Amino acid sequence: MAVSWLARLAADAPTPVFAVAGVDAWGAVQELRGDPRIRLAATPRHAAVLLVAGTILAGHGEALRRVHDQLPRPRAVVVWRAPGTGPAIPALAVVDGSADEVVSAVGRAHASILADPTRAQADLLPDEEPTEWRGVGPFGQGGEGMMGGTPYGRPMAMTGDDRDGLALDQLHLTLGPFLDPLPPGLTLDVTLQGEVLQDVAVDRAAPPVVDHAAPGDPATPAAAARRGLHWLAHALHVEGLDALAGRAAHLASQVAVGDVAADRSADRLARLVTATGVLRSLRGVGAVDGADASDRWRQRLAAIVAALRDGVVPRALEPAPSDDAALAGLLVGVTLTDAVSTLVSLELPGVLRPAVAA
Amino acid sequence: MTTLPPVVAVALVVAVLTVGVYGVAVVDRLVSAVVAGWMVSAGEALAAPLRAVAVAVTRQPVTTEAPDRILWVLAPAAYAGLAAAALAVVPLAPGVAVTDVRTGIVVFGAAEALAIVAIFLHGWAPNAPLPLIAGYRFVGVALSYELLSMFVLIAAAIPAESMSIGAIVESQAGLWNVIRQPLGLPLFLIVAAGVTFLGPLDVVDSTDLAGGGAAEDSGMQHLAWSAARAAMLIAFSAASAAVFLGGWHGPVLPAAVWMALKTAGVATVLVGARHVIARVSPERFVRWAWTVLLPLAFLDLVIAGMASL
Amino acid sequence: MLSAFLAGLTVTAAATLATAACVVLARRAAGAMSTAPQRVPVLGGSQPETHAWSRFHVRYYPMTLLFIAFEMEMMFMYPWAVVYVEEGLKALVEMGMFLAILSVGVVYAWREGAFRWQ
Repeated sequence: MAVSWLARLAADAPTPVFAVAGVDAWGAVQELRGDPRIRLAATPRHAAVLLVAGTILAGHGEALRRVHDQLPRPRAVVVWRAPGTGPAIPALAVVDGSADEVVSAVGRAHASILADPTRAQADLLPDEEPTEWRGVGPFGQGGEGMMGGTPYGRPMAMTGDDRDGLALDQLHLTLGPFLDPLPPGLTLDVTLQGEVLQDVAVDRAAPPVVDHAAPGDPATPAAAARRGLHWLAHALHVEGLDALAGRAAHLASQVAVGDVAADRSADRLARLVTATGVLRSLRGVGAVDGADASDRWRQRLAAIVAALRDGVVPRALEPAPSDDAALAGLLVGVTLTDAVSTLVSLELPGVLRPAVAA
Repeated sequence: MTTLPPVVAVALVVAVLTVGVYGVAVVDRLVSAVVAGWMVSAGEALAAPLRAVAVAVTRQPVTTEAPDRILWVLAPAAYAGLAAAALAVVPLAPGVAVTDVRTGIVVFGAAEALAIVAIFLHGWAPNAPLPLIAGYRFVGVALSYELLSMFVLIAAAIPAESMSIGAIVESQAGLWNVIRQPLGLPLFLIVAAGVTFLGPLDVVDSTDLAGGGAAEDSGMQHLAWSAARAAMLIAFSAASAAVFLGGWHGPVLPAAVWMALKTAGVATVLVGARHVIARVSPERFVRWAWTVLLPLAFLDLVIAGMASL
Repeated sequence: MLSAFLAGLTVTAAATLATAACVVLARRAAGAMSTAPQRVPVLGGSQPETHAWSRFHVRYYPMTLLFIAFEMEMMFMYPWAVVYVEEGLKALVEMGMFLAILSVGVVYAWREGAFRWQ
């Protein structure tokens, strides 16, 4: 009895969700931040439900399964607006409809696995260590002395040179494609020494779509504003302002249904965002052609307000930098913190553009 | 110097921290709802912490590949223990402190400094890249704010001629330190934001590193860490109230009520800051702390010194 | 005096043990260990090539040395604060000189770029 009482109490909480979104559904997922019934978590470890939205590329199937398995048990999967072409994933619920429907489905899925954990979804990957544990050496670390072992399946980091003359360990990491702070479909291969990026390779899920006249391009002010607000909701979330992100996402959903009060709210939101000091703290970060992250935030905020208040379709931001090598060059030598802030502030072609085209 | 019998002391600290942590969770829900523009009923806000506990209890605490299991358990435990130790030297009413030792601000400062170790080890323990990076960058920030705390607490000890926090409260019978040493409270609140890594100093469990130090925490592991963090916030709020806001001094209401109100007020300000102040990049904060905030702390000391001549 | 520290220690130990017990009991209650795919560190779907533990390049190490200089100075400031009112102007001038010398260190470190690590 006690357990069912606990399950009911837990089911009444905002459902912690980790969302994995294709570029075509990323905006819609950001809009869910405006719904108090769910809470989009920054890591799969904090989530109970995995939301798989939109087109997941076939090449990302392995990554999707890995994220799925990283959720603590009991877990549930809800699939939203899947085109049926991506990697198959067993789901407790499949939804095609509105944001409201998917939020209800997520809540029901959470309640259902709480009430009956046997309904929860099992791991998708086999329960095998990544590399065989070898057990050689004085501590069983697998190698000779300090080098060459693979303790518990993975080797230890090796040293690399650095500009300050200290040869300390480098971490080679692949971040993404489903890392919460990164723009959708972006995978970063980085070499870190300390917190600073020494080497970066960028991989984008979709080929750049630079065709501005693509069908469904944000030709109306409302569509442009909504897209801007999706960006703002995610960007505020990354900068640690989740409650304001909720406000931006809620405004996006108001715009979607044509709420006339939205223009006043946009003004207020822009003022609130400025008051947090986020523009000040991003000054000097990720400068491209003389415009830093702070300038880009300011432009985007102004574009949202202009679209809603004056009905102006904003001129698209310069998609800069245009190619992957230039983007990677922008990130080399900065801290991971600033690299994430830079990526979030940029208009990345091929990452955000197809969102409306699909 | 006052000291309570251990049993009473434990009961008092458990009561204050339980009510405090619960209150922090409720206020957090209310403030985030206001900032997000949501409607939230009082009942819903009061139920929110219980529901969060229920969610945590029903989730599996995940481990990573070859983590340091002992440290992973000890980090939240030590953080909570240090919050209790910090609170123990803060008197909550005249003569009511777990132990108002003569070296109160030294004990408080020690708890605060050791919390840096607990927070770093929490990032270290899972043997995962993102928590590790969060832990290391926090230490850079922490070593920069730590000095401020020492300076403003020492400045408050000057007019009291004692390092006991009870004596510091008594020294404010005429004029509160927040007026006598106007730089003290703002600097101390920056330290509080640092130790509980919120608002501008949200550099540990931060979303830009996908949860940072807590990226691998799930279920009870994450709940224990969040609760310890809220407990530390309460310890700092109580200390701010006692050292800068006159503690239990105030008209009409009983002493303990004044102390509770001031503590709750400071805690609300800190929780609010979490939702309305953006993160400062760690590197920028380090530079700013040494070149702007540290001279301000010196100035605070000079002001306190001149006023006590 | 001893009883004072006993009370403080009891409270600290109680909070530490209670929190540790919650985590340990929850880990016990969860029963089965995390499976191998669950244990992979969070990187957004990728696998790490190496362990995270490494000889991490702490780029703020010059700042930590500066920190130690100040931290030692705190030792002298505690008793100084207690006798300040008694000693008056002399105490203010003495500590002012001491801090001024340390401040030169901060200015030097700043000039040398000890507070930036990009």
